[in-house]
Amino acid sequence: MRLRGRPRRRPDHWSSPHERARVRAAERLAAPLQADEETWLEAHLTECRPCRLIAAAYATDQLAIRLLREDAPHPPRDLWARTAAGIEHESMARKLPRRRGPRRPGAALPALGALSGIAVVALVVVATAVSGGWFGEVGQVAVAPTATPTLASPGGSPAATALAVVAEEVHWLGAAENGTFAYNVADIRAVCQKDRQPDCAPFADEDARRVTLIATPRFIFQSPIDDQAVVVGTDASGADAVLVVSLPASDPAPLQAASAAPDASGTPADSPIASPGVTDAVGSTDAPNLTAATSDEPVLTDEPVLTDEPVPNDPSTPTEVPIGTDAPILAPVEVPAATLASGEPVPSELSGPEPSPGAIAIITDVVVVGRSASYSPDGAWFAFSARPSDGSAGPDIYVWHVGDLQARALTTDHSSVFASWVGGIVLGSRLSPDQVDAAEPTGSIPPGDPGASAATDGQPAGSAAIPTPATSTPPSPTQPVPTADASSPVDGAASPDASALLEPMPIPERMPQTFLIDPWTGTELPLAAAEWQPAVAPGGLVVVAWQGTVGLGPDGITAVPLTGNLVVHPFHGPGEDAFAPASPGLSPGSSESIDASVLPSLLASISPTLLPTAVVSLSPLPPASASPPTDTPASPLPEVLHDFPAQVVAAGPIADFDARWDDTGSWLALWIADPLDPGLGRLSLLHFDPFTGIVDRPPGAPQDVTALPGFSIGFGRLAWVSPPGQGGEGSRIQIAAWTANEVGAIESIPVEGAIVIQ
Amino acid sequence: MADASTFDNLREQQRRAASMAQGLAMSGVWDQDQAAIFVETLFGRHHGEIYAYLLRMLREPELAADLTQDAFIKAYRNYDTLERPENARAWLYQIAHRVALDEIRRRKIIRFLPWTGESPGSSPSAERLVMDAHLSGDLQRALARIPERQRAALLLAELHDLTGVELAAALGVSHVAARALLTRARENLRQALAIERAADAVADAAPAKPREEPR
Repeated sequence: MRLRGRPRRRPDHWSSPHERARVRAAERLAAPLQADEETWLEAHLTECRPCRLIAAAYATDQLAIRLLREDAPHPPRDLWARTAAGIEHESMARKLPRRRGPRRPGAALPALGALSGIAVVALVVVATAVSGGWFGEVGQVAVAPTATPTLASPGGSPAATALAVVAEEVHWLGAAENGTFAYNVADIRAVCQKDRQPDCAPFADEDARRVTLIATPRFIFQSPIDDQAVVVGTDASGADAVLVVSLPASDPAPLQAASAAPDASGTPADSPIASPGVTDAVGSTDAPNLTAATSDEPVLTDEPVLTDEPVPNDPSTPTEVPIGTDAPILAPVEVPAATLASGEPVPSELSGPEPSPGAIAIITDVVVVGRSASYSPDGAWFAFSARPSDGSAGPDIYVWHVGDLQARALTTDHSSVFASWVGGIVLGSRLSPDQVDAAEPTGSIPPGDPGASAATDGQPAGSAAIPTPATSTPPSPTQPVPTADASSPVDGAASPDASALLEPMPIPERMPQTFLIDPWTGTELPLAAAEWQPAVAPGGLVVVAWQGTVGLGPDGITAVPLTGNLVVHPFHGPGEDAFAPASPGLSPGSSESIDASVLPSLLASISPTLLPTAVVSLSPLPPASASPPTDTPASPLPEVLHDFPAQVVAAGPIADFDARWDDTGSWLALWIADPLDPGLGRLSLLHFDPFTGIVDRPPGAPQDVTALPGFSIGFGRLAWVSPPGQGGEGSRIQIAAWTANEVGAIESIPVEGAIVIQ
Repeated sequence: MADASTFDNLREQQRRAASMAQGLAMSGVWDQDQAAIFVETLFGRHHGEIYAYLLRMLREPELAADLTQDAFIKAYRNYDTLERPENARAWLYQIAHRVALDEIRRRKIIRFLPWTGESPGSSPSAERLVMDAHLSGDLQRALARIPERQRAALLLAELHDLTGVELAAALGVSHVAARALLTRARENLRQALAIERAADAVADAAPAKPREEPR
């Protein structure tokens, strides 16, 4: 008989350092280690080859498992019919006893009578109180449906009905006094339909919190799992720095509309957007918050569940902020000015000036390229593209892992850009070294004549082609990017040569290459598809990508789309499509196939330090004008389509674009830069139906609305910043929110220097 | 043959269901019909991944389909226990995980040969061959060798992208226990893969005798 349990191992007690290394190597695949433990592990792995091999095997196995998702089995087509029959049977089984069950004698009717009496008395009392008399004016009292929020009109007119929505909070930053910023949060509960916009009073966050930020922020990305954010900002030297900061996590200190001009049209109290308590505000993430749910949800777990991913020594962990003070919550470290002789970006070291609490600079002296930067779905990584600020080299993909002190380069070819995340794997694209056949058209940068480049065939460049396929005109071989910084509006350093503004400059066209790369190991899988900046939707069903040629922009080092279209099409992995071993000179789209099941063993057999030897395919492109699939689903609810016709959502040429999906993979926000002013663009909200494969523009959804770069799409809503209005009025935060069948909108009061937190 | 209106109707049906589900979540009012619509919406969104999870856990397509059906019926039966619709995915995985473990537990008591729809001596069906292709490979075989709870942890975390909290909820353990399970699973998988590769090497040397796959 066992009298005493085995003594529990102390956290710092290991049978051997190798056991400790093995466990830590496995653990860090799921969550970042503490800094000292990470340092110890790296040191041990450097010295211990067997442990190093085991750690590499863990990482390779992880990648191999993740790649199984591209080989997802298809459920039988009659599964819904069977399930529906089971549910119907279950429903009948539940209903029958209730119908046949004996009624408790003398119980229901008296209770009903009592309730009716109470209801009548209550109605009389309320009606009398409201109307000021007995029954005389009851008919004039407007009784609003309880399920639908109503908006109080500032003028005291009868309340208007709004569209109730369930949507993710919107966070934004606005300029406040003395160079500080106001951190705002809005909880969207109701919006107004397009033709009822006056019913929705402009909103504001009464509880905005004042923060300081030394660098001038241009883009802010919030972690999907905590209050951490990544800020892309410009320092005093004009170069970019990428900072990791902590967002306010305690009760907001009231800010008397410091970021907003007075608004006469309505008060914040009139707004259907309520400013939530801070716990609610900062706890809202893209990831389901099971921590909150488990306390009152016994079905999920009987045990208390810890908060996900606590990293005690993580410098980016949110810090307590005194209430009512101007705490420098967003203050970053001062940027070290050191630069390598080669002009390579300098990952920031904390040995420089003492950082402010909860802020680190993960890279400095760079120019952040493109608009696709984002956190991984699990919030463990942040990926972006950057090049040296001195223009000595083109862009590379950088990743930063939560808890690390600096970002690191995943590529070193100086021609790669981050496109999107496929689960926990980076999807990137780069210029192929070979130019397109000389017989094909060659792009050019035309002179900066607005009249010449504003439109092609009477239509603005980059205008979307859904649902009017006629707009997908043959792509122009020229690239109407006449103004500075066509390659990247984020790129503030680049400017075209003066001669380029005088006459067209031919741009050699190249085909893009696409690849997957594991952020842990750097293991790279080239993809067969020749696409630029593919943005894969969560779930991996669908992707939007530039299909066509790309070339170097006016700065000569960053790539821009040239001839082609932006296309939505299925995302196919190995086993569903071409999956071929790479061979030198393999042309994109090759369908030299091998069995998909080989992939895991193939990956497992290679060293993580070597490039893999397999190619997977995104998808071949069916005709853009193809009709929807015509096979009839057998079940009442159609199955998700894994193959559907590709659809052009924007016809080229376009200067730049930013495409992002919501968490459901059903809503796509597409921002296309203005060909004359890349700092401005047009934003559209598209809906993708996974059951039909159709992309459409729902009524009421924003279409080609003018928007500043940097929008945020989240569960049930899209937020962006409209350009500053006339008469000195600031920008406004614009929000479109939707239910399953309606889209409404609402806007903020004017906000100076508004930046939506993505 | 379906025409455009058929798809419009189907899409409208799906939108109505999603809208009702959203409305239900807001109002907190449920009944059986509404629950059926809610589960129908969940099915449309998640049945593929639930089926894939169960197939990889059990390695039998027909059984995985049956258990997927069971999981959604149980979701319907217990829909009133889901208070936050944003947690529906993890909730579904928890149900599916329990269904899978129940089946595995039952199988340990009653061993039987799966019926594949083929008479003895006949050649395997095309569907079976496709499924075998999905389930073959030394990684799949190695996954089948490790304990089922560890296999579930690996699949849910790496293949189905459950976060740490969701994983703990789906497995019905604490967050710390889930992470420990995952760590053990990685080590066991590594060792199982080594065994599989060694077996492959032996099989290559003597290809006449087929190697038995672990169940």
